[in-house]
Amino acid sequence: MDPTLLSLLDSIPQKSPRSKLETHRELIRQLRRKGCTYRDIVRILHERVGLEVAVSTIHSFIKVRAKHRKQLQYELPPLEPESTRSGVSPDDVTSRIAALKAKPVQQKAKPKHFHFEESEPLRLVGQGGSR
Amino acid sequence: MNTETKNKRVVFTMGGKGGVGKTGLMVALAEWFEANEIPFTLLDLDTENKARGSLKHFFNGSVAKVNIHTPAGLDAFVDHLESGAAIILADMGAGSGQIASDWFDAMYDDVSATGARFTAVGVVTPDPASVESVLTWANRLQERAQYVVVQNATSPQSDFSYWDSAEQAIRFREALSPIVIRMEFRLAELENPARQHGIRLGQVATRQNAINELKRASIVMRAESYRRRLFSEFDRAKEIFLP
Repeated sequence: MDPTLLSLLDSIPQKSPRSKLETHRELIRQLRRKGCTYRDIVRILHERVGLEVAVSTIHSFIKVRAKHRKQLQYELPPLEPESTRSGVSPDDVTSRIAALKAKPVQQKAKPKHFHFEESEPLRLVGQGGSR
Repeated sequence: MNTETKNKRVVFTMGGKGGVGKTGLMVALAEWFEANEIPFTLLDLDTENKARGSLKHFFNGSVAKVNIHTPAGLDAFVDHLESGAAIILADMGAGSGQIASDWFDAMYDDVSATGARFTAVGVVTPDPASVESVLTWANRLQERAQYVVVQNATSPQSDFSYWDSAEQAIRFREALSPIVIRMEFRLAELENPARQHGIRLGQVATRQNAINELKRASIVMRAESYRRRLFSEFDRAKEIFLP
């Protein structure tokens, strides 16, 4: 390039990113990978980063950058034996199942100590009737 | 749940029958805590109650008004327990029984696991409907709350036959052991202007108000007497008013 133009180029400072989201690009990318919606991301940026941004801005930010991204070829991971995958030996599993079976089941409904039939009138004791 | 609500208590009126004296009772109870220098948080959950006669009317500025007619129901209890004083005094409005019942069904186990305790305050008058209201609430809440029942004398010779002698009320007392306290009949010359102007009994007794008719010596002395006897009743129930 012409030395004059190079000098001119050097004299022009680097502009800051056009989008205020640029600095949070990786965070947004990871949130999308975790299945967060655009609204989720807006909320997280507001609550955790203190950044106010519209849903449409997030959408545009992602869309524009996705245009230049090559489609990835997703592959299923190779099959592994069950015990290797969970990292637990069959003996451990057996003992855990036994412990779970032995664990007392929490009673759902507590027995009532007092019962009042709301549709019935009050009955005065000793007067043999209701009001 | 890691919300910190240990050693805390929610004291709430069992809403239901309107006009039995729930708010008056709660005002007096708040004064009792004040007199004992124990901090508390006041919640006015009675969204139907107009400004005059509401808890907010008596404690202007220091009462949080909460609308419980939302899906969150009584979640305000949890939030205030975590951030406020050790005691919440909540005045529930008439017709709030189903909301309270649903909230206890959904939240009680988790909230009580943090150490928070509940005291349900019922007010009965000679009107059998007031007794039915308390029994209906107790039927829903069961042993998830401890109970205080206030016999509010609405006339000089109040007859509490339905509370004393109804078979269902007897069964309630046997099963859930409420502490029963008495709120005596108050002269209209004191009660009406106090309610009209949002003046508390203590403010009458100490003449800390601008209402001339409440500064008469006889009214001041009446207020002192009512207050002393009512505080003595509250003292009897202190175990379940305190965390």
